[in-house]
Amino acid sequence: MTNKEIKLRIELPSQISNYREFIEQCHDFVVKYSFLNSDFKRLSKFKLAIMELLTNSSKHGNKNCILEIIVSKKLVEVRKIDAGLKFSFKDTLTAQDYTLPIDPFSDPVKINALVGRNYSINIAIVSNAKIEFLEPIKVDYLSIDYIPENFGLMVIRQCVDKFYYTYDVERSLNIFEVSFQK
Amino acid sequence: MNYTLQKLGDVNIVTVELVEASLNQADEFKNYIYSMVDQGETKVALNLEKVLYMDSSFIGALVAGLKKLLSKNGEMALVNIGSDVLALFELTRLDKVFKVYNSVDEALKSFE
Repeated sequence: MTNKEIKLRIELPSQISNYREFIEQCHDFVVKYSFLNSDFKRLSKFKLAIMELLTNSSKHGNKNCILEIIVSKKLVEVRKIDAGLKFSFKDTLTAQDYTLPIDPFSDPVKINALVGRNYSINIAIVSNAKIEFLEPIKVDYLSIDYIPENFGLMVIRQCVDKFYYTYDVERSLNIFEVSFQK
Repeated sequence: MNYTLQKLGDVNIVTVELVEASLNQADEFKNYIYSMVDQGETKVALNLEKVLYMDSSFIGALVAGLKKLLSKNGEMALVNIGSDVLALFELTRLDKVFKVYNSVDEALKSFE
């Protein structure tokens, strides 16, 4: 382990046919260089988060997707960067539609965001171009009809310590960023 | 073939022959279950022993298959789920929704 940052950068194909190869490459990197190396449970969650980021890449990423892992003494950061469709959602309370960057942007706010059928997540709109995914409230499903058929963002959030989405306006890029803290 | 079907009485034991069950197979799997249900089958035991990695898209297909079966008063049981895959079910709280068994025999008894 080291005080310096160590980076792994992987170019992802537009269609991933072998998840295992990428997951194991990322897993081996953090086992070798990060504090996650001795924590079996967190390593399992790390692999799940990577799998979901890969799926997100295949689903929405278009082409030229990049996965970066940056390891430092007390932090493991993973970034999935793509030039696909911008992330959009609807406020479940006001029914207002959002696509980043938000213009005009007033103040940071926390909302429940609808991102698919039966599928909503709590987020904080941090700035005009950045949101944070918040810890979901654990609820039991009241009926099979209420169960969503998408879970990706929820799974990622529960595997990591922090989870952000940023739209890089200058480069027209989506950046999904997760982190694991020591 | 990604799925192997064995029939024991009125129970369909489907072995998922995938190491990675992901977005790439999610639609195909959903259609496979839908097709079984459309042919009148109502009891499905899914053997997941070969699946090392599963993503939320495939779990979504499982949910869709379960919804279809329940709409016809059918049942679905999941068998032999590995630890990493089980973690995904726990995170999505679907371990409370699906009937999960440690062996095919256990699942078969549940259908009796």
